[in-house]
This record gives sequence, structure tokens and C-alpha cells, in this order.
Amino acid sequence: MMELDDIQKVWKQANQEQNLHEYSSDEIRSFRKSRSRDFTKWIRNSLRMDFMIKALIAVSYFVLIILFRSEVVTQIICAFLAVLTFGLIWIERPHYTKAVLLDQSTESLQAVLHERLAFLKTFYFRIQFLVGLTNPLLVTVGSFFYYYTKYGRVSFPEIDDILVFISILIISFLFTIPTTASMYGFHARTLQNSLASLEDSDHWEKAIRSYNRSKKILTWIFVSLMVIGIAILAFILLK
Amino acid sequence: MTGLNEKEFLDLVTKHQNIIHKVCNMFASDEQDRHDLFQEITIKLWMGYRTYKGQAAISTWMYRVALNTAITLQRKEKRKAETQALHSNIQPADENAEGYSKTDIEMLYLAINKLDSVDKAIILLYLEEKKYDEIAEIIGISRTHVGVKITRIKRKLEGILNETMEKV
Repeated sequence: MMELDDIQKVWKQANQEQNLHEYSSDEIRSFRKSRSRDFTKWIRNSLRMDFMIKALIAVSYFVLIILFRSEVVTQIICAFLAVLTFGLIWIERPHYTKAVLLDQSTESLQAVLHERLAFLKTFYFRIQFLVGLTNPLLVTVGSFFYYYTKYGRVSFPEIDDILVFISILIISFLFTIPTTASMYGFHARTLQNSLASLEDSDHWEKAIRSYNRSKKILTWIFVSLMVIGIAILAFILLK
Repeated sequence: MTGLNEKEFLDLVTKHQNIIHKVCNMFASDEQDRHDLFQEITIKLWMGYRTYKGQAAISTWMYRVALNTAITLQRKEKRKAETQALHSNIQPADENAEGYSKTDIEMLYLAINKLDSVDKAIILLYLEEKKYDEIAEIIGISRTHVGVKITRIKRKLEGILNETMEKV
């Protein structure tokens, strides 16, 4: 049975005995160009896709403004929604940059875990909210086109229609929530566990510091008592 | 990024690929998983290469990126099954000149496999005879923390090794 102090030697021997498959420069190049499986890559891809869909929606609203040239109210609504869509793209942009920066980070493990957790807790939900808004916008633009192709105009809907339409918008917005939440839980748990494992030695360090402080104090008290004791002894002897 | 930089990067990774292999062996359970992790680490190294300006030693930088990737990348848990399979394969073996048998090596791997990912990262660096200061720089904790963590991990390993010995 090996001694615990020997594990470095055992490890060294194990590595010497291992036949590793050395990758060629070409293989490494193909790895470099391959697709990442990291969740930040997934976020970046979904954002990129969302930018495209939103841009298409915004353009579609401009097309609708031209199509409904005789309906001022519809035009105003479409113009508002087009500006809103562009506004959402504008708000989303820095989130994409943030995800890229997160991917390029070469900080220490602890810093990376903190960065990723902070990203999940703030940006991730914001991103999912902004991406989730695409669905109602898509439904709305689709409905306008439907009205245009079928009736050539947007008829003023009754209260039932409005309620059904609002319900569809809400459902379409909430559609991605279960996936979003489960992904968040999965990633956050792993990161939190790793951070907890890394930082649990905080209290050990504090304990060591406190022990060292107590040791110093005790040493001072002991030395002081010894000096006082010697002084008293000397005083008694010399008296 | 220019073609010249890509060549430099490829030369660098090819030359130091043993670092990535060691991390992959520590964190991945089978050949496919190791291959996938190697690929992912290469992607992350390439992304980080833009910002790497030689502020840390190449090996420190590579260990840092490789370990960060191995820990933060979500992979399917296959560890338990493999550990059990390995455990059943342990057979008494002849000792070599150093006195460490194949069983010792397998036992060490088994014990390490049972550690959590952060402990694995720290013990890997310790086994690779990295100085406490370098481990602290890679992991992002103080030198004292490193000492405390290594002592505790060694204690954990001792417990696992004893437990495994009793079972064998």
C-alpha cells in the first residue's frame, strides 16, 4: 500500500506508463474550428438568431406600414412596434458582447466561476426575457399579414378577440420559460457547487489566522509572565 | 486573428498538449469524453489566445484555461459507472523497482475520481509538482488556502484509499 506522501511519485510513474495519443497540428486546427458545447456558445447562437428574427420582424412592420397606407391607426401601431423591435435589438447587443467576453476570459478558476454565476443571475434572465419578447412580436406581425391577405384591412376586433389575442401573446411569451428555467437551474447548481467547494476553506484560513493570533498572544503572555516571575524570583533572592 | 498567429497557436498547443491530455484524463471518463473535452479546451484556448499577452507562464495559462473549461463545461456524469468498473478490475500486481504496483496507480485514480471537480483540479496541480504560488494563481485562492485545501484533499484521499482497501 502506498503512503499518502508518495502520491506524487505514483502519479509520475502512472503518467510515464500511459500511452497518450498525440494530436497532430492539423487535428488541433480542426478542433479549433469545431463547434463549442459551452452554454455561452448556446447563448451567443440564440442571440444571433434572435437578432436576425427581430430585424426581419422590424422590416416586416415597415412593409405593413406601406401595405396599410390608408389605415393611420394600424400604421402608427406598426411604426411603434418596428421602433420597439429595433430598440430591443439595441438593448440585446451588449448582452452578446458580455457572452463573448465571458468566453474569452482567462482569469483564475474562482474568478471565472464568479463571472459565470453573475452572468447567469443577471444577464441570462434579461436575455431570456428579451428573446422571449420575439414570440409575441412574431405573432403580432403574423396576425397583421393574415388580416391584410384575408381582409385587406385590420377590422376592429371585439372584446373576445382581444382577450384571445392577448392570451396567445402571453402564451407565446411564456413558451420558452420551462426550458430557460431548467437550463438556469442546471448551470447555476454546478457553478455554485464548485464555488462552495472552492471557498469552504475560507473558514479554515480564518481559523488558522485566529489560531496564529491566539498563539502570538499566548506567547506574549507566557514570556511576560516568565519575565515577571524571573523578576520576582530575582527580587526575593536578592533581597 | 492572422494566419501567422494561428500557426503560432497551433505550434504552442501541439508542443504543450500533454497539459491538456492530463486535464482530460483527470476529468473525462471515456475516450469519447476525453476527445470532446480536448476539443473544447482547444476552442477556449484559441478564444483566450487573443487576450493572452504573456502575463503568465504558458503552462500556467494553459492549465488555467483547461481547468476552467473542464469544470464549467456540462458533461454527462459517467464517472460512477467507470469507477465501479475499475474497482472490480483491481487485481494484485507485481511491484516495480520504485515499489508502486499497477494496483497503487489504479487505486490512486479511483480515489481521485471520487473527488469533486475543484478538488480534482487542485490535486492535479499538486501531483504535477506545481508550486503553491502557481496553484494559487491558477485557482484564484491564496497560498494559505492552497495549503489547507491540499491537506484536506490528501485526508479525503486517505479515507477513500482505506475504504477501497478494506473492500478489496
